[in-house]
Amino acid sequence: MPNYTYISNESVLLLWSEFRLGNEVSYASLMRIFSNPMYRYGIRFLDDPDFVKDCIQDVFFELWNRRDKIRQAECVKSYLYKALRLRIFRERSKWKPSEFIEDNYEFMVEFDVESSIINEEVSQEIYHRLEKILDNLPKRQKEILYLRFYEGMSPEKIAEVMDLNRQSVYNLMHESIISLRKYWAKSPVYYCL
Amino acid sequence: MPENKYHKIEDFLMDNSFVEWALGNSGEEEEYWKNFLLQHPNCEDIFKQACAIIQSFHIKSVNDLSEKDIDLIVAHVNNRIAGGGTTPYVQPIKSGRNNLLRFAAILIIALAIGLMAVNVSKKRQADNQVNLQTSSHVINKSGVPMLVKLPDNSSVILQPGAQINYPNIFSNNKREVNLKGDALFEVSKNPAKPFYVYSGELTIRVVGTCFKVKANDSDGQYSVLVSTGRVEVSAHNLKSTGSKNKPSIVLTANQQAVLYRKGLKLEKMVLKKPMLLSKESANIHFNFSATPFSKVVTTMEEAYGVHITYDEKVMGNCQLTASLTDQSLDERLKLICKAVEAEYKIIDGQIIITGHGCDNQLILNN
Repeated sequence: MPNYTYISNESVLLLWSEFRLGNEVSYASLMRIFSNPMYRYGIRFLDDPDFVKDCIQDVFFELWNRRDKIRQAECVKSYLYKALRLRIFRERSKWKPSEFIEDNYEFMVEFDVESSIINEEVSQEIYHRLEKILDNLPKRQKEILYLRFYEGMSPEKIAEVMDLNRQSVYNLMHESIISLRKYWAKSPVYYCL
Repeated sequence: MPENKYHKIEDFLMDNSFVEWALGNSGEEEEYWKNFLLQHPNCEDIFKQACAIIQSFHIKSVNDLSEKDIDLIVAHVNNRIAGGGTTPYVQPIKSGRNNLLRFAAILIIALAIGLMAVNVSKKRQADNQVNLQTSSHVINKSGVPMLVKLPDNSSVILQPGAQINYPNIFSNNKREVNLKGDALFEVSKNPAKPFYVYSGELTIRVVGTCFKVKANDSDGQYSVLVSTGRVEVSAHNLKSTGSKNKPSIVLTANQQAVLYRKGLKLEKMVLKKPMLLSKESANIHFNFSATPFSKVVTTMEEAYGVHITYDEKVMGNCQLTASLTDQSLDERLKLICKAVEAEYKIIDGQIIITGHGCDNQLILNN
């Protein structure tokens, strides 16, 4: 099976520039590389696999049609995530127009401490505490933490995806990290100089 | 002690460089963070806590898309691009507004297709060395060899990083392709239409044969290795050196031509070990007698340098008795699959064999 996980950012950018020139083979490669990561992200908004797959299709179809108007993206992933996010909100509004307020979305992540490598220095108890805090965070903060620490996306890219300004991303991230930290350690040593 | 700007857990977690390092993505700053605790031993507690928070960030993964799901997405999008209409998984709730939207969408799609056709043909004429109207350009960006079928049913196995340009329909009297990088060619026989490979300064002319080209731009030399048949290799930059000898070499099985690009020298040599796909090797390796299916697959993989995927659990009890010494890759795959009642597909340059397994041994008379 082809495995695309090791594809470098340079190759992706090359594929992207070839796609913009109308290369269908490169475009198919892009679809193969990003369908699954997009799916993983999209399914967090609405637990409906067929709906998310449709949205991914729509994003790729529209992107192809607009390819000569698209700039060379710095980061293909954040570009595609943003497009998918918008598409999901827009499509959902067709289904349930009354509920269409962008703020009224859910972001479903289940933090899974069982499967993480348990660090000897951190007790099981602390992990469970963390799990609980994370699960209770507001959705925007959850989404930011997901993109930052799970997807490894920089705050700048997160701002682009979520259509927020950079400062808001920083503020929200800071807030969630503070709540994490508060519950994290009982040890009194918070400061070091 | 150097100045420290990290006093609290959040100072670390808000720091890009630290997060990148803790996620395992850092490049230049690797050393800095590795040595951080040596420089700032007082920070050990919060440093470790910050690391632990990031490490504990495991999110329950959802069910990933299967290969088949991804194939379907690509197929559906390509179908829509080609004007085949939409093939959604789910239908939105109908409303008057929606129908209007759909009508507009159809118009837009029709317009887009018109534009696309113009763009594609323009672009293709412009960037081809071989002057043909419609062509394909395949780059192997994966880390594994990739099988490409040409319109004349010849096979090319592109090594990672290699790329090939070929027309979607070959012209009447010639088959011409451009190659960059390393590849194995298995050219279908057609004396009326010789096959040309252009690669940097090299021109390779073949009638019907199997050979390997190593033509990496970064290498100091290009080489062509022949398994079967006859190949003529010429290098056009040698023509200008005033050499009396015609700068071309004819190669037959198990011979190699090397172009030394700096010395502008084209040399012929005989390979010490016969190529895996040469007659001599094939007689040894491609005569199967109650050979386990896995061994047959390994033989194919080694000979062509391409990966073949199959379900070992299902196909494990299959055996093959056959003589496949004189076939092309396609014919071999077909006959092997026929013998074990399986099918093969080529998806993204990878060969995938699917079957139901075998109850008893089948003998293929060929």
